[in-house]
Amino acid sequence: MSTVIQRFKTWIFESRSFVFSWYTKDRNQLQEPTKSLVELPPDLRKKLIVATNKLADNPSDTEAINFCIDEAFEQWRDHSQSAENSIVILTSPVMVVSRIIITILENWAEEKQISVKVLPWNERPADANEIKSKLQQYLEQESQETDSKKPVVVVIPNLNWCFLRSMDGLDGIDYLQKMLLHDSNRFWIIASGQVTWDYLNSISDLEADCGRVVSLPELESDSLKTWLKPILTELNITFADPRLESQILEGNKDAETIYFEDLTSISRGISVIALRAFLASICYEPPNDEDDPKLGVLQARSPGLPNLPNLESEHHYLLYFLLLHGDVTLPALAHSIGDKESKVRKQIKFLRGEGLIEEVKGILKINPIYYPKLKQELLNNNFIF
Amino acid sequence: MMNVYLNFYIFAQSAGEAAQETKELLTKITTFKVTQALVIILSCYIALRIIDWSIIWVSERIAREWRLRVKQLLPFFRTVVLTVTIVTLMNLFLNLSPENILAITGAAAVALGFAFKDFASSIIAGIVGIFEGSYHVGDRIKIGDDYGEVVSYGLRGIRLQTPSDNTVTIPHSKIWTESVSNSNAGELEAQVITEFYFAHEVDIELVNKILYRAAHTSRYTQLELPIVVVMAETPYGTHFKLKSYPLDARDEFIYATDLTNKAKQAFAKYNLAYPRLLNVEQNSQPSS
Repeated sequence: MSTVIQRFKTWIFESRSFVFSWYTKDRNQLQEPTKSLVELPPDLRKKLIVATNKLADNPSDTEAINFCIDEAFEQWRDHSQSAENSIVILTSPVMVVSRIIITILENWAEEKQISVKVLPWNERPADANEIKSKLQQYLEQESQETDSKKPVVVVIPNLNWCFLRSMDGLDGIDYLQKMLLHDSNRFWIIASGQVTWDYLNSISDLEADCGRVVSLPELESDSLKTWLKPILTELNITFADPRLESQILEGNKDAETIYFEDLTSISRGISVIALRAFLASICYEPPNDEDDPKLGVLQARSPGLPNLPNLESEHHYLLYFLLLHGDVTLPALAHSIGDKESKVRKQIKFLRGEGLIEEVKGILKINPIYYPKLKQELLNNNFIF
Repeated sequence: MMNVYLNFYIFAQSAGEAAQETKELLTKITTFKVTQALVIILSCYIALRIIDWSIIWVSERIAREWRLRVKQLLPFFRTVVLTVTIVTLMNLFLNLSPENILAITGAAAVALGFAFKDFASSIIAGIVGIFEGSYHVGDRIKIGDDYGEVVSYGLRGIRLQTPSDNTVTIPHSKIWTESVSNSNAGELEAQVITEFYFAHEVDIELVNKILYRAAHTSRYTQLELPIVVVMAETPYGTHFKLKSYPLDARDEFIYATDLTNKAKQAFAKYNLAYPRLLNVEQNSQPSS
């Protein structure tokens, strides 16, 4: 019975914006998360951005990855002929863990007294035809440099960069699959987005050739609170009264606890989404007296996710391909979808204007804050996740 | 002479009885009742238009997975509206006692049997079709030579939207005599078969790889459903069929085009041999 009540409570909580929105007075106060940061005074906004950039990777994510790698590696080292020679770490498609993995492995290699070779790519090769040859070139060169009898750890920090969904873009995956099967002297650490993994698995049964496959666990609200504490302290951010529905559902909990539970729930426990939703919930409260020389305060209001704009079928395909590839250039995206660049550019322009897509130095990505709703939208439209 | 008078008397008496029965059957027709009937017919027409419009409008805007389910409500609502209208009109003009209903049913059956045989057959087939489920709104079907998406399910027949964007009206009565081929039967996906022909000596493994890859990389492919390549030897070459499903059955033609486009680009890259019609080649040889 308690399970049923708990499930009902979770359902109410997750659909609260719909259930309660018609009855609560603060409905009109729900700010658009993408706008509020712009509305902050420039100096405070700058401080907030600096504090965010200083923020280290979430320690819970780091610990979880470290633990998985350690366990799988020790098993392989003890029984290199019988144990699985690879570990695949799956994350949300809007989260890139390559930086975390590389940071972990810096000390780990010394600790384990083993040679670690990280695929030195920070983007997908521009020509999809070259993915396989570049992979081959790197791995062959690496095997020549190291003693073939000595075990070595090979890291593919982002599997998304090793393929493009096109006729000529999947040879790299075929090659990797072959290498994984036939090379027991190498231990492979592979990081991939969940959508990428599901796709590759459905077309080439990649999982059959890989060892352990682990998904990054969802973060707890306490972990998020600890992670964001430095920003809260530095900028003296306070918490506004929670929304009426949260007060009803959460009883006597204080505003801060309710805030972080809400944040965990809406971000599905994914740190990058939580951080974006946190920033979007910050607003500026001016001093009561306008003549007061003191600055106003920053306040965190109930976190929320922005609604998706009206999307058409063509947008669905494009957004799915962006989630599939993680980050991708416009020419590569157009090649993969099979449309002209000008047509894709027009769609990208619309989606960028709506805030769904971000572009940094020519690389296109999904704005993480839209991911939970986008995932649901694509699921409703027969896409697989 | 006496016999003629007797016959005339009997005929006059039976005509009088029939007139009396008709009088009992019909209520008094007044201007008010006629006005009411016109209003009811107009309301029925408006209700049908609203139902058609709103169901199509809603189904095209909600999540794709619900589109066909919502569209399938259309014949049900139309039937309800039409039944209510007919019963209300009958109630307005007829004294619906059990005997009268029996009489009307018999008379209507005879009248319809002679005058509107095909129309009645279509209506009955339409009602049977709702329960039998041979086709629903949103399905892609083939009846006779016509193929397309069922866009409307009316009292007498259905309307198909063909790939060339024509609307074809087909009476329901076709289901008595014609086979109905339904590609998706209420599902969002329908299998698409894309065909390719090669010379006998073609590298089969390579062709298979290219065809699978074309399906795996097309944006339209539903990867949760099976993708299969089958082949057959024919006198003129090797015939390959790529069987796969698009995410949405509506995309079947654009999907087949995408697959063909991708595959042909790869075939050109590997210079794969297409079948040759030997007699044509021989005929086209210049005479020495």
